[in-house]
Amino acid sequence: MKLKIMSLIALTCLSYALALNSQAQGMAKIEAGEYRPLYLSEDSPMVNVDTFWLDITPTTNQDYWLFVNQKTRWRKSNIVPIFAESRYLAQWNTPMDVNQNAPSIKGPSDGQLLSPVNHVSWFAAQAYCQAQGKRLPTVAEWERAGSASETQAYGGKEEGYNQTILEWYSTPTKKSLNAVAQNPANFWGIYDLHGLIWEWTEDFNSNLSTGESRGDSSLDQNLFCGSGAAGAVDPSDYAAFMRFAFRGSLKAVYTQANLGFRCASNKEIYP
Amino acid sequence: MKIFMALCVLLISQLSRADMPNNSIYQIDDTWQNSLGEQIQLEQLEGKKQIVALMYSHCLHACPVIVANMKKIEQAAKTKNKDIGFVLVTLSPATDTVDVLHKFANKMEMDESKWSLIRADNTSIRRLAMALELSYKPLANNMYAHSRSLVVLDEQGRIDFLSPGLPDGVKKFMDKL
Repeated sequence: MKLKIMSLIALTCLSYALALNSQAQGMAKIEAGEYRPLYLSEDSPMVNVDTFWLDITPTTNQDYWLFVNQKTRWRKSNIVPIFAESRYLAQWNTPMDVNQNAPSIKGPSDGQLLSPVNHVSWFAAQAYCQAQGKRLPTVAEWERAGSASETQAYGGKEEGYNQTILEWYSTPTKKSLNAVAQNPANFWGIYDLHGLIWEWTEDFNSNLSTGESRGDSSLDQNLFCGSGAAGAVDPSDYAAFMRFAFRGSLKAVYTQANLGFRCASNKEIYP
Repeated sequence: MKIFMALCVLLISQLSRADMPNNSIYQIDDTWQNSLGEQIQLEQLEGKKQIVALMYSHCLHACPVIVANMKKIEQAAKTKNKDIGFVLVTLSPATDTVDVLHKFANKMEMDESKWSLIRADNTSIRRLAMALELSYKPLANNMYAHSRSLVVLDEQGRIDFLSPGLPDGVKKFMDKL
């Protein structure tokens, strides 16, 4: 019995080690710069984004599995509804327990290990990053990183840049997500900011509002109805509008098939 | 095997705050500091209704209104003999030290056994604000844009309701309470 358990543990460790080897990992530095929120008019101030570091890939199922085994209150079976709705980790259906008598613990299948973790709430994402000594990126940080093309820090003027992102937005989420880092990295060396999942940000619900984002009267409405685009700096940046609208529709307990996260920090943190 | 099971049970009992409802704010296990310099856990606020708001002590606009509204509620509760707690969560822990919060409480004539002015690291503050469904955003010069809502928690830390200030007057608010 003991031997069997030990060998199973050893096998699991080995398969993780192998998987880790083939995975793009680490953080990339994003130089300080300016970011113009799309809803501002020409004479509105730019937002300064200080230098920060961002995970080069979204957090994977494998990363998250290792996390829940250390911080067990975030296991699928232990989660409380104040931190995540019931679809939390809905994609994890593989029995992971080595002990037939213990309550079954569900984890990711081998095929899911290198895919971005989805069905995670904001609370879960925040707790994961905190456990790594990191944090979630702010909206401004995410947008600064996400506005890069493969060759430029700001790719918005590049032909086809916005079109590619919009085409992805109009494609339904696939039943199983691809592995991370399968497409070229952007200017900063960061993968998958577009094309795989949407991502949580630290302050997703606080875009410039002085009240709850859903109850606030003036600015949010300007943001989401069609007329909002007319006064924007770059009305062609529909993709950014869609991200703002999407973030505005979220609550921190939501868990969605197309929503994952990656972590950021003020300095580089090595895995 | 028995020992293993016992360990599991022990572990599980530590995972969630067993005596708290699983949709209670008091499931959050971060450590906070109040204006008396005491380390507190949110669950220590259980036992009576709490009215919670975001603030920072050097705030010029929204916060004085928030505090004034909470004081009105305190007065109304006194006349009705209702025991209610008040929680002010600072968004600026770097400048709102224990000392600053304590002085603020004194200046505002707050009874610190009923008023919890609390501070923590930014991660904990954001987590609590999210759980309360309140939003905020740091601005330039250490100012913050933030929700002006009052959140009413029941005796066990579940959200009763959010009120955007006292738009219908303190009487209507007390009726709802």
